[in-house]
Amino acid sequence: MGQTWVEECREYGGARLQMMKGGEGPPLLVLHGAAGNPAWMGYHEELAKSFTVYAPSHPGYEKSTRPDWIDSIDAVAHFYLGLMEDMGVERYSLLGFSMGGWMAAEMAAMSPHCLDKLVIGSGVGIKPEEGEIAELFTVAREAVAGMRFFDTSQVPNYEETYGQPMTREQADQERNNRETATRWCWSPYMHNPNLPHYLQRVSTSTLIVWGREDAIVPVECAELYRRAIRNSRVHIIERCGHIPQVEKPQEFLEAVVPFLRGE
Amino acid sequence: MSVQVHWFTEQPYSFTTEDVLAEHQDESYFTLSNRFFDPMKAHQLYNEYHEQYAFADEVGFDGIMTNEHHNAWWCMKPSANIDATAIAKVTKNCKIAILGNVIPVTTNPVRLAEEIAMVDVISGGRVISGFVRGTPVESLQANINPAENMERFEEAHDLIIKTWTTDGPFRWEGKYYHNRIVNPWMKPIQKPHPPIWYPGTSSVESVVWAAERGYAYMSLGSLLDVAVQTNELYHKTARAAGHDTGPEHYGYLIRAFVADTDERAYEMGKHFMWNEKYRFKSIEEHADPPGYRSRDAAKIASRRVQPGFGSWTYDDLIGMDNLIVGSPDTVIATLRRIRKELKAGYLLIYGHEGPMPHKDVMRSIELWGTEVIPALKEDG
Repeated sequence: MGQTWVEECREYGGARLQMMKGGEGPPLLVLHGAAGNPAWMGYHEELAKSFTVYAPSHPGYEKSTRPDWIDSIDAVAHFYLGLMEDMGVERYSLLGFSMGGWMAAEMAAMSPHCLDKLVIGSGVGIKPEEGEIAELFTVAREAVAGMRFFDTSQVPNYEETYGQPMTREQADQERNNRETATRWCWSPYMHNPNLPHYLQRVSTSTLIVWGREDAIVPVECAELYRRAIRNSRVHIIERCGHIPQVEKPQEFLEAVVPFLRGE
Repeated sequence: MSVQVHWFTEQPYSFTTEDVLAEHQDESYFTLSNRFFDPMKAHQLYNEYHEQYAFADEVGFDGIMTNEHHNAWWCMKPSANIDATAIAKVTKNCKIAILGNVIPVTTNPVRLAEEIAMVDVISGGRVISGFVRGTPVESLQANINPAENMERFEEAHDLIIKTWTTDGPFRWEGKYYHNRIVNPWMKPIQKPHPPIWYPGTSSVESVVWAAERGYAYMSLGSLLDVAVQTNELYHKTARAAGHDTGPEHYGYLIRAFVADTDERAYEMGKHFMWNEKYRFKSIEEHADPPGYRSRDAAKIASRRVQPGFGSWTYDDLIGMDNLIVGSPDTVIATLRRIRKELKAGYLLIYGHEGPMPHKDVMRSIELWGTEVIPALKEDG
């Protein structure tokens, strides 16, 4: 079987955006987290069996350029709403992970009528009541790497994907990605105090997915999102860390795909 | 202009001991808990440091340099302007070189413009105003986005200069700073404003920034050959931008201790190595956080292997003329050798470190004033 996706470049709002696109079916925009969008992953492939998957690298990430005005999460949310409109995609579902989950929530609050379904995976954006969102910018990158998974032995292809030393080009990319995340999430750190209030008007059918053992965004935030979005429910994946789509892809997809298909 | 000699100390909290650092300092110097700070001991140290300032002025130093660091057990100056005010009141003649205010980490540059003007007025027009981007730690402790540092620096600079040179009230609506009514009553004595100096550690970007504006560049402790290259780049860039620059646009900071004999100076100079392996300790995310440098500069830096301070011994540094200790004759001879290679109009003497005994520092200051400085001034 050949490659099932293509890489496209789109210009909008002063940005030149690199985007992976694959599959057939209703449109689904997938927004990556702060670490970046390095590859077409297994979960993209599975989602592409039911949907037309759009997986852009955010402006300032990988090969996507960032115009000055995209200097915050709400700016990038406005950007994506405009981009989808510009591509002629009027209604779509939205799946956002971690920092991308925050973007997705802001987009839902701005333009709920555009969205068919919303999935927030381990999203930042709401300040926890008990714990804290882990510090990612001012700690050693090894410490950040250590927080991602609950148990690396259950991550498919862990060694191939995460166990190799970075090339210089990968290190440049990682540094540039971190710079973009730093610009957007520095203060208030990884959240918008107003977001829960903005979400009051969202009636979009929403699934909130979290790993029980998330060491980066406390699992209590799943409940905070549920309270903020009236038509939402929570799906917790046991013995799983911050990136369920990679650590337990099967369970993740079993929850997400039927939800998005409206089954 | 004959050479201008300035006195400098970091004002360390010299009671910080290596056993505490070894046990409690984890990732970087600025995470050592401030529970190890005793304000009464600091009070005693400030008094000694201020006596040294007064004496340096009395014996003939042309200026006293101050600076600012935060969360640092090796520098008790969280506000350069407060130290500058102390200098203004304990001295009569010397320049007060504030090197510098960390302007990107302020939320209100107009307040800084007021404070610097106030010190200029209190001191009768003796202020030299340096502006710095600060070490990344200054951004982190203030929770100012490190990726915005350079843009904030430039905008704060423009706003401060405008505040000093334009009659108020005026309005400022920039990217980072928004002031509806800029009209501080306090304006500097020196017109159009106090001299601007730019202190830095020889990064190409900083040298070019200063040179393009004709601001004097102060090379802070770089190795001599680097300072010589920087000096060439500075003048080449400045002249291309239409500035007629000379030695009065370049300064060099160097650690140096004078005593009555070479032997005594060598012993005292060992304090320059005080807690050295902890002082520069920092994880990369604190020393060079994402966005603090431009993407191009970060890429170049990641491919360059530099021997760092911390890898050289006391004797190495003396051998490289990066640290000078000796009797007046020895120190004069070394500084003459350095000045032959580097045409610097200012020597910033980093003359005290760690727990050097106060009385030895006072004697050193006396020898600078009575012997070393007059000999250097004879050379022009």
